[in-house]
This record gives sequence, C-alpha cells and structure tokens, in this order.
Amino acid sequence: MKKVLNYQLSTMWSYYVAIIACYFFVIVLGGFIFFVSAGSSNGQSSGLEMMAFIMAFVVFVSGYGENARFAMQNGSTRKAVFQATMLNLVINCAGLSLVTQIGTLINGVVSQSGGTLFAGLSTLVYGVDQGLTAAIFTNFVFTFAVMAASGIFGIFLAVIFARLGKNGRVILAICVPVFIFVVLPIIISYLAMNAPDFMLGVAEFLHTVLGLKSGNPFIGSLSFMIGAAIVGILAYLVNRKMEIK
Amino acid sequence: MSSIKIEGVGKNYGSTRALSDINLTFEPDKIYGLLGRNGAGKTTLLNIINNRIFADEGNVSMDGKTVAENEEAQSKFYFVGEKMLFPDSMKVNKAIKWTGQFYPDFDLDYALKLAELFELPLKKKISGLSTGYKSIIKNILALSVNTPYVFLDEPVLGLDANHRELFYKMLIQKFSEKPAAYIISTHLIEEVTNIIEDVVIIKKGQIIKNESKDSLLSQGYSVSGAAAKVDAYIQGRTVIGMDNLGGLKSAYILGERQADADSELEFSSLDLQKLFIQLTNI
Amino acid sequence: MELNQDKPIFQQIAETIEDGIITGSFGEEEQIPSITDFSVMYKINPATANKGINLLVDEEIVYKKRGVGMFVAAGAVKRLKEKRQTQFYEAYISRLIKEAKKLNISSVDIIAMIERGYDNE
Repeated sequence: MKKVLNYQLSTMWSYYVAIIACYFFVIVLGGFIFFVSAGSSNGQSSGLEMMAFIMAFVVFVSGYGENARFAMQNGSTRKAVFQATMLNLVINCAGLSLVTQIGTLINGVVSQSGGTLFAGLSTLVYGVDQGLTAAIFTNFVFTFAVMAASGIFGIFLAVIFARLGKNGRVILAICVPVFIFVVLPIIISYLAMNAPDFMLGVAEFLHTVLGLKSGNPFIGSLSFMIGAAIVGILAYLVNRKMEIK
Repeated sequence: MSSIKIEGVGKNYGSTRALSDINLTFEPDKIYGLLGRNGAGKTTLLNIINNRIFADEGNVSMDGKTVAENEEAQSKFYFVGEKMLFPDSMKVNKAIKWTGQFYPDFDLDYALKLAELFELPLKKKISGLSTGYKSIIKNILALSVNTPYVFLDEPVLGLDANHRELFYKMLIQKFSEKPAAYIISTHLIEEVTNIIEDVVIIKKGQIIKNESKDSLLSQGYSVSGAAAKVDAYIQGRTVIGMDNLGGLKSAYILGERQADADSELEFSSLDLQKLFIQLTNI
Repeated sequence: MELNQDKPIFQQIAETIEDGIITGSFGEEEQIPSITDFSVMYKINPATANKGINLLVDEEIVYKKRGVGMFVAAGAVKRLKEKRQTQFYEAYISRLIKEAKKLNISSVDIIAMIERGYDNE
C-alpha cells in the first residue's frame, strides 16, 4: 500500500504547482486591478475555493483509473490501491486546503491597500468573523471537508467508470451531466410546485445538517465528511469486483 | 519457493465458457510453454492468476492461500500482457524507475543495459512506441524484476527477426544465471520449442496436454512414404493427423515407434508445432 | 552448428563438444564454454544443454570444477576416438549399405568407391 501511495503522491505535485500558480495569479491580479482602480470591494467571490473543489474533483476522477491500473500491473491489490487512494485524498485535500488558507491570508494582507478581499468560505456561508485566527482553522476544516467530498465523488465516478464496459462508459459520461444540470433541476422545481411541504422539509433537513441553522461550520464540515465516508464505502464495494481485461 | 496451484478454475463471459475445469501446477525455476489457438483461453487464465479478473469457479493458490487480492503472492508474479497498463503520458525511463520502486529486487543496471542493447529510446512516451518497441519495454521489465514467476503473453509480438533472436538469447541467459519460472504464452511454437521445458496446451477453454515437452514428443512419431504403404502401416494404430501430396502421404501417430519396420517408409519424430496443429484442429 | 530434428538436442550438443575435442578446438585440461554459453548459442533450455554435458561427464570426457567451470578430461581424445571407432559401423556403414541396396549398388562397387575416395580426398 505504501508503494502505491508513494506513486500516487508523486503524480500530484504538478497539480499543486498548477493550483498555486492559479492562486498566485488570481490574488496578484485581483489585488492589482483594484489597486489601480483605487477602489476596494469586500469581495464576495469565493473563486479560490471553487477552483480548488473543481480541481479536487477532476484530479481524482481522471487520475484514479490510470494510477490504479499501473499499481495493479505491479502487483498491488484493489484493496491496497483503494486504501492508498483514500489516504492520498486526505493528504491532498489537507494540503490544498492549507494552500488555500495561505492564499486567502496573503490576499488579506495585499487587499489592505485596496483590492479584492477574498473571504474564506466559512465566512461567506456562516458569517464567521474573518479577522480572527480561529477563522483560519474553521476555514481550513470546512474547505477540507468540502474538498474531500468533492474528491470522493470524483473517485466514486471513476470507480464506476472502471467497472463498466465501453458502452456503459459512454452512457455514464452522457447521463451524469444531463442528470445534474437538466433532470435534477426539473425534479426540484416540480417538487417545489407540487409538494411544497416535502421540499420545505428537505430544505429544513439540509439547513440543520449543514449547520446553517445554527451557524456552525463544524456541523457542516462533519456532514460533508460523513457524506464522503458513505460515498467512500460505496466506492470500495464497487471497486472490489473490478476487472482489468 | 512454492508452486502455483490452479484447481477447477472456470470462467464465463456471458454465455461463452472461456475456461472450464482448469487444473494445473506451475513449479518454480522452469520454462513453460502455454500454447493454444486464438481465443483458446490462454490470456483469460493468465489474467486470473495475475489478479486482473476473477474466476467464476475454482481457485488459484500458493502455500494454501488464494492468490487473488493477495499482495504477498502477487508481489511474486510479474505479468506482461498485450494490454499496456502504463499511464498514457509515462515515459520509458519513468516506467523503468517506477517498476523498480514496486519491486525490491528490480535490477536497474540490467534494465538499462537491455534498453541500450535493444536501442530503446528512454525519453519517449510508452504510448508513442511502435508495437515492437512496446513489446520490448515490457520484456525488459519482465527480465529485470527478478520475481520468482514471470508470465509473458506473446512477448515477441511485433519484434523484427533481430530483436526476436536477441530476446530469446537474453531470456535464456537470464534463466541460466538466475533461474525463475517463466510461463510463455505464444503462437510462435517453432521458435520456443527448444526453449521450453514443459508444455501446456489449451483448446477451447480446456487443457488437453500438460506435461514435459520431451515426454509429449516421445509419445508419437510420423511416418511418410507411398500412400498405399502408409495406409497399410497405419492399420490398427492411433492416427492423429495426415497430410497428402499426390501419391505421397504422411501420417502422425500416437504410440511407440517400432524400430524401422519397413525400409521404404520414413520415420521421424513429431515436432511440437505439427503435433500442436494436429491436436488443435477442428 | 545447426540443430536438426532427427536426434535429441542434448545428444547433438554432446556430439558437437566431442567433435571439438577430437579436432583439438577444445584441448585437454582446457576449459569449455559454460552451460549458459551453450544454451544462448543454440537458443535452447539450459536443462537440455546440461543433459548433453552430463552425458560427457558420465563418460569421463569432461569434468566439472565447482565454482570454475567445465574442463576436457585428460585422455579424452583417445577415449573418444575409441568410442567412435566402435560406433562407426552403426553410424555410417549401416546407413550406407541400406542406401546402396536401395540403389542396387553392389558391395564390390562400394569398395571401389571407397578406395577411390581415399586416393582423392
């Protein structure tokens, strides 16, 4: 398992470079533009984190298959590959979250002299006071939790993908985006119209579970992590019977 | 080092029975020839042993423990199949490096020496190599990992004559200096006849022959001559095949050769490829 | 140094070495190529090469020195020539006569041919 993890980690550094470069670019550019225009805005943009979430998803969905096959070529078992992938997810989400916090901090310093202020995600969502050092920890945990959830979702898709045959993969690749962007909104609006109580109940549930009701980002983090764990278990079960033909 | 025991293995693909009741043992430090026609089931069997796919029935074990999803067992095998499992962007030198990371007994110097001998470009992406060079990188890794069991599926696919000869020579030298079990699955029976010690023949998912090459070939002989004489001779004998050329005939017989029964008939030993063709026709 | 189909390979290996010894290519008490060398040269399984060499070891034509290699035994040339002389009839004469009979060549003709050959070659 260690050997697989070692290999997987070695493939991640290029992503780190890419992300740091993006952050740097956005922070510097954002700061520069607003400095020049002599305005300042308490930016509501959470662009930094959004980028990282998408990165996490893409990295894990695309890298998983290739790395898993190569590891199995070299005598690893599916179980060892999966365990290494999980550890890899945790390590990298923690790392990316840390990088994000540092980026936000730097942005905070830079924007003192005018420029876009990127608020930490937990500030935006929960209203956590940006100034406190505790906010950094809160941000770190929450960002980590959302990234982990995003990454595990990518892994889950990748594992299903690996198990399907050629036709199945094409169908999946079409159906998933269609479902998320077309079918789901339709279902939601239909339910909103015809079963408003049910939708209210769902909204209530989500508010509580995500800690929005109590304004506690840690509850939200926990929910994301539990969700990630559940998806992780599902992914493990699907992965058990994967065949490389 | 223990043997690999394959017991009652069966595999279905939909309604096709790809493998059925395979019982086989691979012992250490021998060169095996795994022979069979296209689609006979050789690759399926190799995939099962090497934890790529799962058997529907039966078990493959080593030291009494199943080898599927067993890291200790799988670390003793190395399998190069037709499918390339290297990441698309991986370059040859990285593939060598990382394979070495996974296998503690990997001989890096030897791998690099072979790469030079075969003129393998180290900085090129594996996905960009020709079929022949894809086989070459796989073979180099197989010869360098130093695992007790090495499985080679069509190792000389795409190789030109010079590289084929070089490969066989490197394999023999390696085997002689550092014995290990090599299981070679191939169509090129003539080329490997002298290299293999044991023969396993698979026909339509079942094993029809599993013994040493010497014993297999000593089980029969061929007799040739005038058609009428040959026809007379083969009466009461087990004939597994015949060739006709006008008035000349050759018959392939299972059984013990009588010492030159007739001076007008020519007797000679079976060769493995001819025997294989006769056994696997229909 | 080509292998053929008629005789078992290990026997052909043994005979090749014997030829080398008789002609002096492998001198007595000199080292002969290793099993690996023979296997690679002929592209055969080392076990086969080993079998052939063991034939010679049994006949005391060749001996193995542990950790060093294989050597031609003293007196091997003499022993080989004697062995081959004994086998000469079976190896050559028998076949010659069989073929001659097929072609209706008499023993008198054969003797004449042999004498001619000794004069010319």
